[in-house]
Parts: sequence; C-alpha cells; structure tokens
Amino acid sequence: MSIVIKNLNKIYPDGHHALKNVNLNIPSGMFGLLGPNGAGKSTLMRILVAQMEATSGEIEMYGYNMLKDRKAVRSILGYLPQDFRFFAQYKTWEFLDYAARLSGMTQTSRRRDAVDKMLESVGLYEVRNRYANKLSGGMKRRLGIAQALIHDPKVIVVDEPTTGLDPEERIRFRNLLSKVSGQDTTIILSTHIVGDISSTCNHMALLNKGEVSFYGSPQDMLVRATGKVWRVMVKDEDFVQFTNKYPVVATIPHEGEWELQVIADQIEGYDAEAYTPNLEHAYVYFMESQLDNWTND
Amino acid sequence: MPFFSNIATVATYESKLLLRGNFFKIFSLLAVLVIGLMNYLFLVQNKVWDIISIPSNIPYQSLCIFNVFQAVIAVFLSSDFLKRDKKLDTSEVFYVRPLSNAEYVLGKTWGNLRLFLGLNIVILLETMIITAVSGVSEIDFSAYLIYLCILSLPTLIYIMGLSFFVMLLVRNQALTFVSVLGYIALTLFYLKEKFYNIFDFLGFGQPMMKSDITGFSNWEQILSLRLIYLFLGLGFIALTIRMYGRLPNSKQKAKLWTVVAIVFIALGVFNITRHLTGFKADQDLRKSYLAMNNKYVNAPVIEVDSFDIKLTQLTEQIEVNVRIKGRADELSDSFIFTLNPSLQIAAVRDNKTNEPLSFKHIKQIVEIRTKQPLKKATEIDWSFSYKGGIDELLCYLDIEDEEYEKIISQVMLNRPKKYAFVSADYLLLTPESYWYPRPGTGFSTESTKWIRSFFSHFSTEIYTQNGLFALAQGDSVSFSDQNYKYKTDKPILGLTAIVGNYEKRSVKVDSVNFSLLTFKGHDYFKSITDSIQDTIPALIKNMKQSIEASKSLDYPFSRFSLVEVPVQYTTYARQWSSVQDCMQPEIVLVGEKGTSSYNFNLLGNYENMKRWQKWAQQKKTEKEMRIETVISCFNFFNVPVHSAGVNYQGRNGMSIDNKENPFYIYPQLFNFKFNVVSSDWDIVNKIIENYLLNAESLSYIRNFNGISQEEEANLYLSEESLRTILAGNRTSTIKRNAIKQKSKELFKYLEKKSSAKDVKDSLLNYLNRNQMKNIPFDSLLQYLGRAMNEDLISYMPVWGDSVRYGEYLFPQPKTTKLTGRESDVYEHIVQLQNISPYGNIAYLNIRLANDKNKTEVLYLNGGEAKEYVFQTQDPPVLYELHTIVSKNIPLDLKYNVRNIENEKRFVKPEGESVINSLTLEDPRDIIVDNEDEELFTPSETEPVGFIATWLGQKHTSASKYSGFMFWNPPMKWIITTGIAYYGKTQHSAHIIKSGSGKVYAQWKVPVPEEGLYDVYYYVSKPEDLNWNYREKPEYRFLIDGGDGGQVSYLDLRKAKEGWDHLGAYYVDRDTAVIRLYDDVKLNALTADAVKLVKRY
Repeated sequence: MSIVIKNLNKIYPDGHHALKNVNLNIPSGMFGLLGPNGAGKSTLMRILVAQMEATSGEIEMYGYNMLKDRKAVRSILGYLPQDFRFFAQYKTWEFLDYAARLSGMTQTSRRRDAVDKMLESVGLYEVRNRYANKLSGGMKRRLGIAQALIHDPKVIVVDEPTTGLDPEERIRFRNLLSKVSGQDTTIILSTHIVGDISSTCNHMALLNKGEVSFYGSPQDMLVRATGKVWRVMVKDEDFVQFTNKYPVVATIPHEGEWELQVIADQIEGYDAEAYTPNLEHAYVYFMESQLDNWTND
Repeated sequence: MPFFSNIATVATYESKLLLRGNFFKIFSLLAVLVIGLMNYLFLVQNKVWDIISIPSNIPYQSLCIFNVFQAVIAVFLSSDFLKRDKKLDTSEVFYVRPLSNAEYVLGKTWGNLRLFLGLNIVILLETMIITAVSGVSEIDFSAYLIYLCILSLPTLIYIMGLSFFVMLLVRNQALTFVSVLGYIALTLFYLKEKFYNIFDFLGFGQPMMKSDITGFSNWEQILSLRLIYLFLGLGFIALTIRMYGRLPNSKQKAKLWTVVAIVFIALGVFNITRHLTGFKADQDLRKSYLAMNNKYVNAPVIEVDSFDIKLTQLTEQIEVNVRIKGRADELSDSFIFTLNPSLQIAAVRDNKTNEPLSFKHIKQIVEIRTKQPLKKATEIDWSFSYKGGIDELLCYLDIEDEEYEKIISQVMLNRPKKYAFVSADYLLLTPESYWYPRPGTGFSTESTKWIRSFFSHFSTEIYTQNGLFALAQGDSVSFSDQNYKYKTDKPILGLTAIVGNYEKRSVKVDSVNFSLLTFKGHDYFKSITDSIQDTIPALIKNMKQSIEASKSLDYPFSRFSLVEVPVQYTTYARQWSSVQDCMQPEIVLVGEKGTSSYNFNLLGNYENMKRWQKWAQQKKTEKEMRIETVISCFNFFNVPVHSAGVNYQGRNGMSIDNKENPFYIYPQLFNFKFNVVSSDWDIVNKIIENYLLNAESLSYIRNFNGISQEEEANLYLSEESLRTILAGNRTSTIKRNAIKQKSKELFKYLEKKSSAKDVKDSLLNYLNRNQMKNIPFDSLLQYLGRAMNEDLISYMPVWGDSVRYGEYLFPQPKTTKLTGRESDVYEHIVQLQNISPYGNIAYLNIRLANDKNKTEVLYLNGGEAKEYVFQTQDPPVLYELHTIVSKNIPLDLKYNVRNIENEKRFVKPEGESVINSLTLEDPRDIIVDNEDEELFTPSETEPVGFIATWLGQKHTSASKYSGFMFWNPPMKWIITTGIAYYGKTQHSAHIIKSGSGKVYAQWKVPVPEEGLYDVYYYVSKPEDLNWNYREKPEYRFLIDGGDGGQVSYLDLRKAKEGWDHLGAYYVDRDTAVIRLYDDVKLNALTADAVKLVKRY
C-alpha cells in the first residue's frame, strides 16, 4: 500500500470530532474520497498534505511517517486545493517555475524544460506568458494540476477538482488525472461529484460524519446497491405520499404520472421495476442506509 | 544549499509580486518624487547651509526623510504577505513543498527587504546626482553606504519583524497597520527623544552627524541604539518563524527558532540596558567628579604665573610635560590641581630641589604634597609628566544632566556632542577638558571659590604627527613640520591647543594679526572672497573699530584666530558668564564651515542677495554684493542672541526661546581682559556683562510665549531671592533672565544715585586699570560706592538675598504744550504708584520727535505714589515705563500721546512730589478679572480624541502663561498676557478655540445691594477680526441677576476696545453670574474682565 492510515482522529479545539478512527489503505492509482459536505473529507485532505496535525493516529506515506518525516512526505506530495486562485502578478510559466524551484528543482535549464513540458501536457504552452489570473476557469484548474505534478510527486491530493467546470473541461481534466495515475502515482481525489470517481477511480472510500462508511472499489459499491434501485410510475395524486415514503434519486414527468427512480430494499403497493444502479445510486443508497443505521443506533 | 536556495526562490518571487503590484510602484514613484523635490528645495533652491555644508549631511537628511516613509510602507507590505497567505489557498500549494517555515518566512522577508534596499539605493543615487549636478557640495561616497546601513537597514528589519509579529498575534491586517502606524507616529512625534532615544527605532532623533574631518564621533552610541532594533527585528522575525501558521517540517527545528528568537531579543534587551546604564554610569561618574570638586573646593592652590607646556600628539593619546611657576596662595603643605582623570601622571618634580614630589591623582583631583609647608606667596617651580586620553565627562559639570544629554538638532539632523578631540589626525584641547593641571577645582556646588581663574603666561611647544599644523595662544616663536612653539605676550585665563590638517590665511590689521584656519579643502568661501581680497582688511578694520567703539572696550590681544573645528564640538551657555568654550582668548572655534549658521553660507547668501536686488530693482555691483555678504558673515560675531528656537505646544500654543550666541565676540573684549571674582557671587562677571551689553529683549518672544522671558523671571523674583533662584533647579533661561533683571536693577539703582554716564565711566575706568588681573568684587563695589556715595557692600544682601519687587500703577500721563514762547515747551505730568510693599526702581522713557528720548530713573518706596513733572523742547510721541523687577505684566507699559492741551503757563514746576494713592477705577465699580481664581471660572472643555489631546498637550512650562497664534488657537484654556487685556498690574486673558457654545467662561460678581446695574465687558479686539470680515463676530453672554438669565450679544466689530456696555440688568440677589460662550464666529474666544456699575 502506498498510503496507510491508522486510527486517525481529529478533534478541533471547539470539540468538533471531525475524523473518528479512520483506517484506510490507499493503493497506487486513483483513489476516490466521496462524502457529503461536513463528512471530514477536507480535514483528512489537509492532514494528508501536512497542513494539519491529526489529534491521534498514524499515517505512513510511501514508507515515510507523516509525523516524523514531514519534510520527506512534503517532497513526494502534490496538492491542488479546491478554491485555488492565483497571485495576479505571476505569469503562467512563473507559477510553475516557482513551484518547481521550491520542490528542489534548482538546475535552471532542467527546470525550464520540465515547466515547458508540463505546460504542453496540460495544454497551456500557448498561454505560458499570460498572467495566471487571466486564464479561463478550466485553464486555471489545469495550471493547478500542473503545479501539483511539476516535480513528479508520488502522491497527488486533489480536492474537488471538477467543480464549476463545463462538461468538456471536466472530461479533459479527468483524462489528465487518469493519465497521471498510470505513472505509478497515487492520486487522492476528494469530491462530492460521483461521476468523477466512477469514471476514474479504482478504489474509493465513502466518508460520512467523520467515519469511513465504505471502502473498496466502485464496482463493490455498485454490487452493494444492486437490487436496491427501482423504477416506479406514480400517478399525480400519489406523488406526494410516495416521495415522502421513499428516497427518490430521479424524477421524470409524464402525462398524468411521474417516472421515479427510487432507492429502497423493496417497494410496496406500486409496480416497481428493478433498475441497474450506477455509482450515484450506490452513493445515495449508502448515505440512506448509513442514516438509517445511525438513526437506529 | 537548499536553505539558501529556497530563501532566494521565495525572495525572488516575493519581490516580483511586490514589484509588479501597483502599491509598491506608486510608493516608489512618490518616494523618488518627494525626495527629489526635498533635495531640490534643500540643496538647490534654498541651499540650506546646515545640510550642504557637510557632504555627509546630504545622504543623512535624504535617508532620514525616506526612512519614515519606508517604515510606513514596510508595515503595509509586510503585513500584507501574511494576509495574502491567510486568504488564498494559493499559498497552500507552496506550503506543501518541502521548504521549511524558516526558509519561507526568511525568503519573504528578504524579498521585501531587498526591494526596499533597492529603493534606498535609488533614492541615494538620486540624491547623489542632484548633489553632483547642482554642485552645492562634494560627495561623501562612504556616508551614502554608512547611513544606508545604520539608518535604513535596522529600521526596515525591525519594522518588518514587528509587523509580521503583530500580524500573527492580531491576525488582522487593518488592526496591525493601524497599531504599528500609531506606534510609528508616537515614536516619531512624541517618544523619539524620551529615555535617551530608546524608542527611536527610526533613528530620526538619534545623533548621527558625521564630521568631514574626524568622521563619526559616537560609534558606540550609534551602534548600541541601532543594534537594539536590528536584534529586536531579527528576534521578531525568528518569533514569526516559530509561530508561523504552517506545520513545521521538524518540531526540533521549530524549537531552535524559539531559542534564536530569545537570543536576538535578549541581545536587543542587552543593548537597551547597556544604552540606558551607559547614561546612568556617565551621570554617576559626573556626580562623582562633582563630589570630588566639592570635597577639595576650599583646598589651598597655587597661583600660577606661568605654564611651560610640551605637548606631544600620539595615536589616540597625548603626552605632556608641564612646568609650572607660581606662588602658594596660603600656608599649606598640600595644593590642589585638576587634571583630566584619563591622563596618567608619571611624575611630579620640584625643579628647585630636583626631587620628586609626592602626589595623589584621584579622579580629576591632583593633590601635591610638599615636604615642608609652604608659606603664603612662596614661589614654586614644579614639573608634571603625564600621558593618556581625555575623559570628556569631566567637562561641563555645571550643566544639568537634562541639558547635557539633550540632543542638538540641525534642521532634521542631529549632532553628537564632543568637548575635546584626541586622535592621530586631530587634536582639540580647551581648558574645559583639563588637559593640563589647572590650579584648584572645577565647578562646585559647595562654594564659589572654584571660580577663581588666574591670568598666566603660557609657553607652548607642540609636537604633531604626520606633518599636521598646531596652534595655541601666543606668538609663533618657531615652527617646523612637526614642532610648533608659541609664547603668550599677555597673561591669559587658559590655554587651547589645536592640531589638524589646517590651511592658514592671515592678514595684519590695526596691529592685530587676524588668521583664518580652515581644514584643507574647506575653502568654499573663495568663490566670494577671492575677488575682494584687497577689501577684506578694511572690512575687518571697520568691524573691529565699530565693535570696540560700541562696547567702549578695546581688543586686548595682538592676534585673533578664527579656527574651524569638527562639527561635533559643542559648548554650553554658563550661568556665571557669557563666555562659552568656543570663545578662547584670541581664538574663536567655529564648527565645520560654520554649519549651524546661515551667515557662513557665503555663496548662498550672495545668490540670494543677487536675486533680491533683481527683484527690488537695486543697482549694486558684484563687488558690493560680495562685500555685503562677507560683512553679513562677520556680523554673526556681533549678535548677542544666536537663535530663537520655537517649541510648539501643539494646539495649546507655543513658546520661543532665545539663546545666547556662543560666538558673540564680546568676551574677547571683556571677559579675557577683566576677571571680577567674588567669594559670594559667582555670577559677578555676568552681572557686569549684562549691564555693559544692555541687551534688550526680543519683543516677538512675548508675542509667541504670551509672556516675555524677563516677565517670567520676574514671576519667580517676586517670590524668591536671586540667590534662591540661582541655587534652585529653575531652568537656565529663568536663571539667565533673573540675573539680567537683577543686574539692570543694581545698575539702575546706581544710575539713580548719579547718572548713567557716570556709572559706566566709573566702572570702565576701574576695570581698565585692572586689566588681566583678578579683580575682587568688593573692591569694585567700594570703588563704585565711593563714586556714587553709596554703601554698595551693605546694599548687596538687600539686592540679592531678599525678595524685592515693584508693582506699578501707571495712568496715562498728561501732556501740555506751553505756547506763547520763543519755542514750544512740552510739559509732561506723570503719576506713578508702587503698590508693592518694597521700594524699587523703574525708569521712564519719553520718546520724543526727531528720534530723541528723555529717560529718567525713578525710585518709589513700597506703597508710595509720586507725580513727576518733566519738560521737553520736542513734542512727545510715546511714554514708556520700564519696570525692572516687578509684578507688572507686561513689564513695559506704554501710552501713545493723545489730547495735548495748550496752555500759556507752566501747569506745574519740574520735579517730583509724593501724592495720594492712585485710583485707576471708580471705587464703586465692581470688577471681576480673569485672574480672580475665586470669582472667575472657565468651564471644562469639551472632551477631545486621543490624537487631538496628544497634539494639544501642554508643553511643560514653568509659567502659567502661554502664547498662541490666532490661526491655531488652543483647544484648552490658556492664559495669555498683553497690554490689550484688562488688569490692574497684570494684564491677562483666558483664551480658547471657539466652539459650539458648550464651553463658557463664568464671572460671579458680588453686588452690595439689589438694584439695576450697568454691565460692561473689557474688549480686546482679536487679530483675526481684520481677516474675518464676512462673518459677524459676536460674543454671546448670559447675564443672570436672579431671573434665570438674559442673553446679550456684543458685536466685536462695533465694540470699542476697553470697557464696552452690555446693557442694564436687574440683580435681585447678592451675586450676578455672567457667562460668555465659545460659539463666536472667530478663531478664539477671549475671556477677560466684567464690570458692574450700579445705577442710582
């Protein structure tokens, strides 16, 4: 395993228990971290990128202990934060050059080559002399990933990378990440967009209220949701009653009735047709069942 | 190394970030423009001599100004980086890099710092180019670098470190900016000189001036203060690294930064302590020197007839052999000399017996013990051999610590103080440094015996280093490259030795050899003087003769040398004499190029004159203008008052201080020729000087201060005797003016007994008969007393040990023109009453037409009223009563002549007669003045903010009176004085800035009975009434006779000066209350006096 997380806890000074005994083994490749807002994803991310100290627990990253070998850990890390903006006064290439220099690439010619190569690979070479704040949203995100990759890190942590991107830019970005993940690198992708994970990750974890609700591959998650997704046609007059009873994931209006996709173990009183789940269905299924478990507890 | 490489990387990109930001660009542009403009104004336009005379002052002033600007901007930029880092996730992509917090913070710091240093270099280059192009001064290249290092660098590091630290603590850039900016303002305007400049991180108030000849004189002090802020700055930066909000790479290294921070802050604190304890140690040492003087002040001394001195200049030391011939002044086997404690005596020998003499050299006191007691007047011939340096702390033990430590400012530049120079390149030794054994002790607080000075002959031989020129008093007997011999032809009071790289120019005028000694390369005056060289001897002659004639005294020596000395050389005004140390017998020591006086800016003054004459369309020749320029420079030595320093007291007025001109040539004619000594009064020479100089006060000072310095001294003299004031801790200005007033009183007393001419002639006659001798004061008093038929010796305790003052009522004199004669005669009837319990002197001057005056000295016993009748041929213009030591404020009372009546007969015969007491007011009038502390109350002022309070804080003044300017009136009540205000003898009024009507002045006027009263207010028309012609300035009164009050308005434009009627009001109780509110449409409200007159 490239990253091993053991019994990780984080309690903030105000008493909020953000991470509760988190245990994860993260292999090479793309690793998806899914969870609703407030689940603890960002806290875990910040701990993983050495910006925050855990209250207890251990993290080992490519053999380096996060607490004792922070400098070594930082030298193998690349990070793209969610709300990533730029110093307006840097040009695109300067931004990458700065990041490269700080990552130990001191030899100027080698660094300049690497910067150019990276700019080409993320499709920003043409705008290399443009000030970073003048780039489009997608370009900025690509520059963001470029700075995270410039020093060939072993671990890349990417926080909500596709939020706000148009579909084309989002696909391009996913492809970029997939390409990198093929190069013996671990990419941790934190997101609440399920599609990002289904199309790129081999492994994933689902965080909810600071705890790991699911750990495995996206396929495993789908298997767990198989038989739990239904397609139901509901008359107008029953719509309110039905939606109050079952969690609905999709609603399509028809003449006098509604076509609904529902997460449930079984549907009573309606004609329901089993539906092949996708990861989004599985995510909702997990969240619902976790909520039930939690409520039952 | 990654450490430095990471710092360099962060710095590079931090610099880029700042450099590309508009803020820094605008600031840089503004800085370049402002400094360029200031340099243009100072150097090119106004040729400010204080700056341009010394090349190193030019970068010094540029950086002084720029340092304040850059400190403010550095606060903003350095706190900005933490704000940026806090706000943007962008920083996190750098935070995840393997660089350490130290590398990051140091990189950011260096990035900021190097930009500012770059800008400093730009500013200095700009200054250098302006200097070079304008040609106003040479360029001192090293000074540019040194001031950058000692002025800019520590300030930048400190302010950046402090801003980082405060920003980390408060986590708010606005709050950081405001608090640090407030701290800068507080330091700059308030704290800078407090506690020995310990708060002056800007270096704005620290003496850092450099001599063109001897360089910096106070490296230790400069470094100790600047290192405080360098170390504290580094400490704060280390703390920032430690407390930085990013997880450190290693906890151990983070702890290391705690240690580093502690070490730096401890070093800063160590320097603070060292700086403060240094001053304390100096004070203690000076006290111990004074204690030694006090201990030995009454010990027997040798009256030295001649000194034979061999002085050898060594590196940082001198070696001296002195042969002293003199006489024991009393029977004793122990005699006291004073010699600088840093000089180590090797031997003292008796030349008659050729045997060593037993001696003790404890601190500055040298006690010589003879084997047998010497009878009074026994002749001695002793030799001293010694070697060492000079401890300057021995100098000026009479000067209070506050003044001794006070920093001398020259424009915005500060000059360190030095009293002696001993180095391989330069030597300046005046008697004040006790570089040769002088009989007796120096200043003592125990006895006045110390003041005995002895006229002695000096034979001086000076061995110099590196072919330097040497000068001492006396004729140049012989000289070679390294050996100079001088011998005095007249006895003098003390010897000065000077060695330096001098150029000498001489001219013989009126049998006196006038020399100018300037440092090589300092012949800046040549461009003006070269073409009028032939005229200069005549100018000197005219000047000499004019001074001698005006002072009725002759210059006694056959040589006169004007010697340039390093800029740091400082002297003080003494209480007992007008001689400052820069004035030595036949030598005047002037600081480098006369830097502190514009009179020496020959070229600048010449150019100004040229411009002026063009503007005034005068037709002076080049030569005439050059001659006038040189005369103006010479005149500098003939002005008793040197400068008038304005002390701003913010919105609570200002004060101005006149200082004696240390270069006033008078001592050369008086003090080095006559020496009156008294066992009772050490100020005796000063008393005589004051009389002979007859220096009048500067009238503008009373306008500025609200009271004249003489009046302020009189306030103390009306409570304390002169001796008590001199012994107490009053300011030197008060002491000086108290002596002045009492001197005037003493000699006017004598003049009353005979005449002004007789007194002056008798005095000069006696002094001239006793030239170059110590004249006992008692002998002088006996002589004068005999001439005036007065027992002056028994008068002296009355004069000096008791409180005596006059207080005069002086109504408008009556003038009558007697007609029907061949020529008109004017009769003046002057009434005067001294309402004080003491008899005292005043004098009346009647200014007449045709520039004539009639002056009479008047003496009135306590409580006595007199009428004087005078006659003159010329019509009077003005009556001036000059009270001397009196309670009158103003002390000079003046009346313009008005209503001259024509009569054919004499109204009264000439002479004086005692009359009944004067009544200036109708006794039935009930007047309450603002001086009445019981019945007059100014209301509390409106609360003002911190800044306004601070700006308006009252300067600590000994006087209850203050001055003010009408365009900047006080925000709190002040009391000012002037003849325009009401007062029986003290004419004063309360003043405050006009306001919204909440503040008022209140008079409670007790009335004897119920009834209808006419109410009057004493009007003085303020200056701004003439300017403020659009508004209708009215005073709003509330007059309450028991009915709750009625409002009355007084239109100041229509009102007449003096008592003006406010109306008639019924008072139905025992007190009428009158309020005057501050909502007047003028700059200030004047609250003076009210009067109630009952209607019958």
